[in-house]
Amino acid sequence: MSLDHDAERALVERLKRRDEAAFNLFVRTYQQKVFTLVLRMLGNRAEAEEMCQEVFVTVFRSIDTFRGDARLGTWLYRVAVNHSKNRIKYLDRRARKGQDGFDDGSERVISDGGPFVGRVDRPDESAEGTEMERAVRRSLASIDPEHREVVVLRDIEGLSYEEIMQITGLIEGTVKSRLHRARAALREAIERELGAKVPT
Amino acid sequence: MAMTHDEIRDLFSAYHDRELPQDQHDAVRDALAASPELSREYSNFTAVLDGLSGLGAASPPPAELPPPDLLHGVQRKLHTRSGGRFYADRWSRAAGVFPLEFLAALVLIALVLAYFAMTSISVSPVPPR
Repeated sequence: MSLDHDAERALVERLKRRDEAAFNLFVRTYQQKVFTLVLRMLGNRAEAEEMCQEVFVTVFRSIDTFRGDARLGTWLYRVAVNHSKNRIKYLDRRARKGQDGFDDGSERVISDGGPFVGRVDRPDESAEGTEMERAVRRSLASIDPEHREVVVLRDIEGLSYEEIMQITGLIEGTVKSRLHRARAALREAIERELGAKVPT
Repeated sequence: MAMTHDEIRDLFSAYHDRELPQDQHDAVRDALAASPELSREYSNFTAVLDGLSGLGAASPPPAELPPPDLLHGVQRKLHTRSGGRFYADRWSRAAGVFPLEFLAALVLIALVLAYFAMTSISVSPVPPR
């Protein structure tokens, strides 16, 4: 990502010493990347803000487990993706529980365009962009989280297959086939969103 | 290498990513050139990917910027969850809210103002009685 190898190694050493100034630098360096990734995964700004904080807290606590096999940014992405997937599962369970009539209703209703996408906070409502980009945002939030994960990493973040394998723990063949299905699902969702074939 | 249209469609994704062996890549390319229907479908497919790459723009819209107090929130959580061990003093947490460069500039301005204030005060010696 933003740091070269030497700067990254030095930063990791300082992080492992729990150097607070180094951690401040680390958060400032990576906060944009992590936030947009988590926002794409969760589709909800308020959830993304909270989750982004949790990702950095986890990094601070578990930096000792970083062995340096992958780039620091890739490892950070893995933490962010895992956190997001766990949160999606939790919100999905909670939404289904609510539908069964067991939710106490004390929390914000979050169901529109997917079981975990809050209506009020959806970034697509206010974000700039073409009609196609808005349709893509909404459609992305509506597809299966496992599909969304690979599409976000590959087609939005522009990561290589190798990096996606390191982040997701999937083998190459699975990444390829899942990406194929994900893109097809996204295309169908966009066509539903636009009410027509995707314009070329 | 002869393939059906459905087989070609299944290879759109890998073809786009240039992940196919050369013979399959050539077969897909030839099939797209020969079939307007497949060619149109492939254009639709790449339009979706173009829409996605547009989301990863270098300068995200304001709605996709992280909150300005994100670092401060992280520091607060670490302070609380560590029982006060990390980010123990108010100064270290303030560093997340105000960049250090900003704080340094403030201190510098204060020093300059203090210097001018002191030099503008004329102290007249007390006359001997």
